[in-house]
Amino acid sequence: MKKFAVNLTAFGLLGGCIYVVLLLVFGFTAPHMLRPNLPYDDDRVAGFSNLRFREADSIKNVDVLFLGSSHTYRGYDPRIFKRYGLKTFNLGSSAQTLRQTQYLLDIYLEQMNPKVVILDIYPKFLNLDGVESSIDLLSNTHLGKPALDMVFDVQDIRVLNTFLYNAFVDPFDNEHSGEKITWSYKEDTYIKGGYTQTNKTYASKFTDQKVDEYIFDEEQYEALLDIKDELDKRKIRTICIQSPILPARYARANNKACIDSTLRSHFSLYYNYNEVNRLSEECFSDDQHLNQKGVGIFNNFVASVLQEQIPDLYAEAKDD
Amino acid sequence: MLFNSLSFLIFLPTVFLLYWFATNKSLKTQNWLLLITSYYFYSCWDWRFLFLLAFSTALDYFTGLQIHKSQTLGLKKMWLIISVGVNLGFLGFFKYYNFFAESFADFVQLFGFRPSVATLHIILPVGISFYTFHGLSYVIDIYYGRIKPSTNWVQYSLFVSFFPLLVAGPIERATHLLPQVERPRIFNYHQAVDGLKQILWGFIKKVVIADNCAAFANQIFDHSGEYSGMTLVWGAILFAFQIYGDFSGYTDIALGTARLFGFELLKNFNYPYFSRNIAEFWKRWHISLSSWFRDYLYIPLGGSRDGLWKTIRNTFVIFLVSGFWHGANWTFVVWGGLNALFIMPSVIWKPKNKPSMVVAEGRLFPSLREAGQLAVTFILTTFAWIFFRAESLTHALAYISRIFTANLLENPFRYAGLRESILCLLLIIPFLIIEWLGRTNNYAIETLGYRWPKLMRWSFYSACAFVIGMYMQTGGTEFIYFQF
Repeated sequence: MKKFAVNLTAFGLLGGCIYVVLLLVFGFTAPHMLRPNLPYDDDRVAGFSNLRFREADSIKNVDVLFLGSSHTYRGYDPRIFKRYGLKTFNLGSSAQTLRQTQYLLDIYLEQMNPKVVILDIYPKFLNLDGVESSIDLLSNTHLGKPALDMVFDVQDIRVLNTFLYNAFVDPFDNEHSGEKITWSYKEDTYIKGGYTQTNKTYASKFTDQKVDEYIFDEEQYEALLDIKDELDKRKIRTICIQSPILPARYARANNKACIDSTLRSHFSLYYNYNEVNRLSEECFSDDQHLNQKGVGIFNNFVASVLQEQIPDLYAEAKDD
Repeated sequence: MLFNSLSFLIFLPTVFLLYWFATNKSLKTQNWLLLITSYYFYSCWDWRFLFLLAFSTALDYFTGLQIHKSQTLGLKKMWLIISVGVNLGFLGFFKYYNFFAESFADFVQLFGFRPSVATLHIILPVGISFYTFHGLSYVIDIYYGRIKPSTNWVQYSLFVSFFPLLVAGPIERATHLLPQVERPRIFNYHQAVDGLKQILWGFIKKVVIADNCAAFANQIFDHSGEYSGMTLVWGAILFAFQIYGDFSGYTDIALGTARLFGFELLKNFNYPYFSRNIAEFWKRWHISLSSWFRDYLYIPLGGSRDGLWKTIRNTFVIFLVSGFWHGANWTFVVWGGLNALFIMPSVIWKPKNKPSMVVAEGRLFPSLREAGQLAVTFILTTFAWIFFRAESLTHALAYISRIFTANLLENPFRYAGLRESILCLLLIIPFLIIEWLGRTNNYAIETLGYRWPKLMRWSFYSACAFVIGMYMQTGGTEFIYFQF
């Protein structure tokens, strides 16, 4: 038995090293199709996560911090809030679920020290496994203990492989030299402050008959409570918002009232913009995201909420 | 609890450590531990069916003792009938009630009646076909005086419910497994290492080969009306590798796991796709079920002793019953019937010389003739798998007819959703090469690299682990044979 235990341990160590070496070899040389469980993509510019998190590293003391999915980074324009005298940053990322929001708070909350957090929730993501978002974040943020916690939390081989790959590649990554920065991709442009601007207008007719089920996954719910606790503990005021989606799509969602009531019970400041105002199709770039015209209308609403509900924020901002 | 789940990754080492370190090598404690953990393992699916498992175990244990004790043949027979009847009654109710009810309704509708038949929402207890057959072989063997009944309830219960084989076999025989349960087991380094290697290969078969093929096979079968003939052929081939990887992968994991605890289970697969005819295929595919039907159905029916016609009849009987054992659907029955048909040449024209059990033995490549035989056998098997996989007979027939009518030579990889199925081809080819090289072994990598330096050998196993990590399908897909 002793020989078995010793050999098994030795094999585990050797196997771990060989695994990482092969992961690096595949990561550098194999096309995407041949590495399905290492979906990490260092050329990926869609969503501009690489630029956003690189910028985020140097941001300190903001008035408002936005967190959420692509609805967030495409839905809150820091330039508009700047007009109101507010310094904001947008930490939205693709398919971000509450578990990944927690991860981002672990990394950036202390450093950004926000006075207000706007938590944008797209209920369709409340029962996502968070794999896509974890891979995106692990590929674009500095890895540390919170990243390892997220790997254990998500329990997916693709997330583990991405973590291992980046853990070894990150220290040698020279992307920070600034040579490879892309500010535009297709119709999108990256705007400083974490925002992705698009002027595209939704052109097709919405025909999707699929019903979007709004269900609160148990783990996501726990993450929500943890986020709330953490923000309350730090006395950071939180506003929870559902940003608008195409009305035709919103109409096909199930269980909306239940989600509204759950979120309202946890956040005294909760707004479902889909119920506040029905934006026309020309305010959207696709069936889920706003374009610049829609963002203008929506952000003015958010700014008015801030003015109305947290007036001292403006006073403090002026003083600063 | 699935073998390919995180829970099993925690469960197995925990039981292993307790088994070898916390039981003080006491046989009684080891058996108790395995029994409790096996029941826990089963309860992870649905704890309510533990009662059914316990009842079935108690019934066979008790009737086994009664058969042995009975002085007259009539009494022995009565106890046997009770055991067989109740076991098959449970199996029939849970697995076949709705099938018979619906088939009866369809049948009487042919005569213009409109019967109101109540179908029930019945959950099929996982592994019921397997543990029922365990129990049946036990009581039948006692009845024929082949074995003496066990007088230790814990040992008998462990024989029925040992967790590696509980849900999908292999279907063990009391003559083979009970003695192992009864005798003290000591840790054997080589056996444990061998077990780990077999588990590793089993995982490659299941999570790399079967699950990757399954993703595309499902897509093609579910939308068969939209694809070209060649794509449907590709779908059938993918399913052939899916079911082989899935079931033989499960078996390898089960056998390897059992070895970690000092048990040797029956071999269930012997490279079935390297068979030269269908008769040979059935000696290599799900061996424990084929031999069960041979010993408890085919031979009692007369086997091949009473002339050609009865041999043909008996062959059809076991294949049709075997098909029906797989599931309550006419597709399985037709699948069984087709295999019976394909095996007929071997039944009618028995080969004079028994061919070697290993194709191209001692050679790297098969002869041209052997290659042709392998190809024909694979084509016939894959053709029959279409019925096994199809949702209904209509679906199977439509699938087959579309193969010959819809652009037979059109490239399957031109469809956007199937372009990535080329990855399956890239995985199947090296897999088949390794299986071919290791075809004389119990499992393909048993002796592969045996003479290599340790570092090189370990590197190969590590590379296997990497292949699992890089190509496994995520989401913990279930094993096909759990439904049987």
